[in-house]
Amino acid sequence: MEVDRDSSVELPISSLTRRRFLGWLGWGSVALAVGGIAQGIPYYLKPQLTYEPTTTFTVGRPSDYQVGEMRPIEAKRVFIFRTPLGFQALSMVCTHLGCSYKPFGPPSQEYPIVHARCPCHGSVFARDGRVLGGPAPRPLPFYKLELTPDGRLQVDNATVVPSTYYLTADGKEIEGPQPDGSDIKFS
Amino acid sequence: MMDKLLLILQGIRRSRVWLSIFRREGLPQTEADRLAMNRRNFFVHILPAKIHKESARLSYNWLWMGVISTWLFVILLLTGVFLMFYYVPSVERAYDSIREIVNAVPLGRWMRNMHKWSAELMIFAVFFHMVRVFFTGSYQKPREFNWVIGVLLLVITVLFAFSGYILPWDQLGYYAAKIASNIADGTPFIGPYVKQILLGGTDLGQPSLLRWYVIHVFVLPMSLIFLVALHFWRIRKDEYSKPYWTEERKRR
Repeated sequence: MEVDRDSSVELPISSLTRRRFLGWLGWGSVALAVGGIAQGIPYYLKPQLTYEPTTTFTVGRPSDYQVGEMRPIEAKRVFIFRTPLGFQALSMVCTHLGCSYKPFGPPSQEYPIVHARCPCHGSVFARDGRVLGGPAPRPLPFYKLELTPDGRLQVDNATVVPSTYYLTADGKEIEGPQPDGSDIKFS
Repeated sequence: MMDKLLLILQGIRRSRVWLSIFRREGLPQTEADRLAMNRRNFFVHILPAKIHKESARLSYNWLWMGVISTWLFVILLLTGVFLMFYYVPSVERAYDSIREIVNAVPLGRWMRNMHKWSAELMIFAVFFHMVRVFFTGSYQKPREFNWVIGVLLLVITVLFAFSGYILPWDQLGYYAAKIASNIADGTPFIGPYVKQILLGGTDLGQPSLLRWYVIHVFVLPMSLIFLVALHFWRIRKDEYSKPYWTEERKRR
């Protein structure tokens, strides 16, 4: 296709004129400023301070517990177990409607393993959190444990761990066998 | 008596204030003048000077569901402003402030019920507007863009209903928010972050109520007004939803 061209006008070979350069500079700084703020918006929206009860709490020193002990922490609604392997923290809240279930008891005729019963609607849980019977829809969660620098046992009930999670008395997280209740010494 | 009234009216139309606002003295006399006024006048320029015969048929326009949803939104804006004078977005006072509006404020029950029923009707109207547009094929080329805006408007309307449902901070609203935030929590990868943004914390509380309040009374109305302006601009350009089969083919 023929295009009429005025050959007396020389088109600039480089497209980067001073005007365009300054234009890029101007728009570039606008983009940087706006983009810099915009990338921070998601962080702005995420709350940094929440006025909520803390999810971590201490439950005494490891030496306060004897091997084979099952101690209910009523105020925080967890059971602390000290097994020969280490510590475990199990939620005391029935997954049905949130009652506190009763402590674990020895095997019975109906349930031939160590189990706990909720007094409200009769849910039955095994020591590893499984639902053995009743209306509870989900197994009980185990919570993460750690030792604070001053040697206290600390539970974090916002972090759920598998039932094979143990914390040794010297603060190591290890994986052990499924708890079957044989660790509890019933008096 | 009548003559005097007409004289007064004429006096008003010739007054400096009238002329300054409308720039003309009389009402349009000819058909062409009427059409021209409709285009030029700021207050009525959004209204059609004429519509296609087909779109006046009830079976085509379905009682103008889009217009109805617009007017419901106007009612919601007005009654919403009145409710904002008394409503306090605090977990301690939200429910009681609504009880105060209903039981103690003159006309408060009326305002609240207008707001509530208009909101429910608006969902209904927006939905049937969408169904109408679908069945009459009005989403077709070249009007796809307006369909997309319409879908966004539907989303905003539903968000309006959801956020408004939370604000009384009663059992219904509280657990609606709880369930919704747990659904958001289930999103892969970003779920927990989205949940925190929606709630302003890890659990439902004062920050959540404040966030949804601000979304309900500022973010959503602004977005809706902006998108409705776009929506109307497109409708006006497309000659007020003239049935697509009567449209000239040249633009396709």
